[in-house]
Amino acid sequence: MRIKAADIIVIILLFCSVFFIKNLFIASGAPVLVLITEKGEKELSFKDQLYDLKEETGHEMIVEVKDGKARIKESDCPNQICVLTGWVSSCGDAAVCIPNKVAVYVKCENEDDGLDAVSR
Amino acid sequence: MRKTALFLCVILLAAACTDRFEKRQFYAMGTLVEITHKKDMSLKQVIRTINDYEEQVKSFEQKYNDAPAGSGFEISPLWEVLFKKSYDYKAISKDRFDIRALSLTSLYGFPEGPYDLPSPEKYAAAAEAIKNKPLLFLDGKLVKEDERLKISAGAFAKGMIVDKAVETMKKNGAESGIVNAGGDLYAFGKKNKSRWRVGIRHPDDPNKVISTISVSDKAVATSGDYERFFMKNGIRYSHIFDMVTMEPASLYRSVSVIADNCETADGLSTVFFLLPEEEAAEACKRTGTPVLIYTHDDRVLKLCGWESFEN
Repeated sequence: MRIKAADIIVIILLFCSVFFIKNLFIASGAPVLVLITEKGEKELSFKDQLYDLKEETGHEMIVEVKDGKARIKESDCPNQICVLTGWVSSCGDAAVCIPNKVAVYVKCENEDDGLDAVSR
Repeated sequence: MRKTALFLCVILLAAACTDRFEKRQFYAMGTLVEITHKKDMSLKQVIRTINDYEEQVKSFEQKYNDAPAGSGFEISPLWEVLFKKSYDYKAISKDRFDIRALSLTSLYGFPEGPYDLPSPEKYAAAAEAIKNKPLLFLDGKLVKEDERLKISAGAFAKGMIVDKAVETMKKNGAESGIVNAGGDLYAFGKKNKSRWRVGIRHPDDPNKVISTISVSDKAVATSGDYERFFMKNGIRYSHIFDMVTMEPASLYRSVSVIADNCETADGLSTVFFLLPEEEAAEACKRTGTPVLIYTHDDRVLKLCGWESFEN
């Protein structure tokens, strides 16, 4: 697999988003399920359903939402890390597929920007 | 791919042992102070430190500012430090910075308002008083040479008090945290093994940042024309005055500085706010402080290694 500069940028962006969430303080707001792809970020419903990402990502990928949890159920990526991550449900949890540039994470409302402080 | 997998594991592990931090906000030093600290830590002493120093700074300023010409003052060790710092900043800024700028800015209503333009006579008299008097002290004694002179260490005392608050936190066992006094902050230690993420506010939009940096054991301070200013006849009068031109500084929208302590970051952000671009680029080399400048034509200048803190 050849990695291009644009891939690296997307990978970094994906990682940053994960770090961003991981670094949040203890969250208390209502969690939101978020899907990040190359096209950007979008909110998923917590209602039980399957999302086929074939059209959106050009990859064979299925995200499953069930009982208030989400997972990457199927992916055509080589080592299946995202699938093996399993279910994500609490604030900051994330399943990330780097080769396909897809991540599902649980974002919590009380921290808006992932910043620890602002200088003004 | 194996490396990627390893990286992912590290991330997941890091997530598993998340430190718990809390933010406490309160008003002091004329601004909203926010302390980020470990949940089990008491802030009582830290807040007392802030209030004590604020009182020491304010009471001397007030005594001096209210006194008639010819009054003499004993200088406390704290104020000796503050005066010396102010002379350093005056030198770096080639006299644009002056601890007596309040003699002029107070005529416009700064810092608390109501704001308006002063009468030409009052303005001329205050400007004259600053120009002609050196404000030096001998043997720890200071004499107020002219009744119109007023001093304020507001440009850097806040930063110094942030440093004192951090000292108190460390004495009480804190290994990491942030003290942020209205944008002048010191972030020490780490959060969950990573550095603290600090955003620099966009001058026109409080929800936007112009730069995000990662820091540990560093101070960041910003001086801008958007928080304390007033408009009159289409002209913006900001609270930072250039004591060479005796007019409000108007070179930039905002200037941020990264330094090893908050007093330096705070003072230098004001100093660089007064310096033209070439001189700022020169001065940040000499002081060893990364600088971020937001100009009136929306350029963002990164000087002296600012980028190396962005990620």
